[in-house]
Amino acid sequence: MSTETEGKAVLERFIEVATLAGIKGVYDEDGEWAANFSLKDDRTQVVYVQPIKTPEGPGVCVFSPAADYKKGFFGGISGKAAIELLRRNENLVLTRYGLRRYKNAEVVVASTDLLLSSLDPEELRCAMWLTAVAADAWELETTGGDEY
Amino acid sequence: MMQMKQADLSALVSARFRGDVELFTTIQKDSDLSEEQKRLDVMRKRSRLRMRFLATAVRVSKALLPTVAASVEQLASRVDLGKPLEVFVYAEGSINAHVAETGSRFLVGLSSGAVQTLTSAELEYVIGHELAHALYGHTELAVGHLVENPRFSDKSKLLRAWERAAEISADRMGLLCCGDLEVATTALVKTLSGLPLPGVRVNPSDISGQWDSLLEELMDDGAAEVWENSHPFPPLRIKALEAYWNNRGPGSDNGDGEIRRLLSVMDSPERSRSADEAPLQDGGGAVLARFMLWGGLYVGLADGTLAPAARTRLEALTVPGVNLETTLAAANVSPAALEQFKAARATRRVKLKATELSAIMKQLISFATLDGRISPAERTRLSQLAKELGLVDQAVELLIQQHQNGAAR
Repeated sequence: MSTETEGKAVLERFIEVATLAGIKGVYDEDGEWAANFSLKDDRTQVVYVQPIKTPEGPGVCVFSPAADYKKGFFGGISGKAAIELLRRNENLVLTRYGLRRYKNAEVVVASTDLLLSSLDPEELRCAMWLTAVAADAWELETTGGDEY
Repeated sequence: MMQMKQADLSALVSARFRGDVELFTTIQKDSDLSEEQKRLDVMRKRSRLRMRFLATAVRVSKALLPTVAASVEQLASRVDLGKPLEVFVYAEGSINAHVAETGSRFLVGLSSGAVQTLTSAELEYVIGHELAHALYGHTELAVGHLVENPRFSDKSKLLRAWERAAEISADRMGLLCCGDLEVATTALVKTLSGLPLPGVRVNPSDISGQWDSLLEELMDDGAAEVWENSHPFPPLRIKALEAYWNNRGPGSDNGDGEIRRLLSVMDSPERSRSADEAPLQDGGGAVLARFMLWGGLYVGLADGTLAPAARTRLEALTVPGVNLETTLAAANVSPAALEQFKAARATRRVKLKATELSAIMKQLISFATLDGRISPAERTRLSQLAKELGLVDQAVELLIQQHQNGAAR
């Protein structure tokens, strides 16, 4: 987003739709809005939101971290794992896997872009749920844990 | 009519619609828009509009167009514009007029259709309308240029809303200048139809049925794209003129509250209202009035009787063909209100947007909390209505929490 004010306005509208969807979020210690989803087998998954610009107007990207890979000569995601993510992307509905770069790590995330002007509560609930399920599936398979 | 002819400048200034002033202030405070406006001001000083008028239109003078010249002279003498005014008539069959500001003067263009079709009094309404744009400083903002600039696409809803509010102010001054509501109404009806209507005087009540039908259409359709219009719908303008005429004078609000509600029909549900603007009493605007009325009634009657505060709020809502008094006197009001709420959803041709759903639910929750608490019966009814809107019960819970947190702050 071009300005902090615009981003804040987008986030406020997103939260309005999330509330209508019955999704309660909280601001975490980094000031990011996040909602926690309870999945099967007592697993949980956290979903974040980020304002974005689309050719059709302002939107949001809802994303959920699945696994992190430390940076460094022997670090990073393996080629095999990256190809596997691309294969899975081909079969995913609505959401997709991607790699986000942070200061000390690369993080595999599942994410979904949504246009704000036409976003309705049902669509948002569905998108956030699918994003959480996709992220959790990769986390379970690759780490076996439930960090996110 | 003669009395109104003596309306002094201060009366004309105080006639300005408050919604126009509030939005104008918001736009002026926007640093990006102000910066662009400064650039456009430089362009305006170099404008060749006067040259174009002088080359392709006829300048109004006593020798060429004595009646028009007399009207212009009389009106201009009552309004201190601070710059010379020139009026031109250009060849165009339809009734049209506009005003522009160059570096050194104001220019008013009248179409030949306007001069031929309108009576002197109706022309005074039209010229008065255009002079208002100059007097109120509307010509300072080049909205046409700003909304076409992709940089300001996110501000176009605000700019268009202001343009429509500015037209309301201009209509009022036109009305004060001609001094007769029927004259102003007739001028608008002639403009709309293109018909000369010789000898006809149109009373606002003659066309109010058309406004009611249009409002019903807008309610069913969700009024999705009408926010792009630079002018309010003419039937709405007539309704607004009538509201002003019947509520003007010391101690009254000039009909501003009712006009805000009328204009909200054309507002985009996504436009967030600025801090300078007065809030809408019904929260979500006239397009959602049926949901607010029937939902509000259903929730308001949850504990048996309708509280006076709730009744006042419901009375402020305008739904064509509905009389609250008669509705409340009928038997089985609650089940009927629920059925009407369902019908409002069913007849709506376009899906309710999230902003609209939010406005409806927030308004209904505020109805339920008018007495400071939500009773179990009110909570049940809120859930029922939310379900009708396709919302889950957790949403009601979160919205109530939000409302309570907001009230506690």
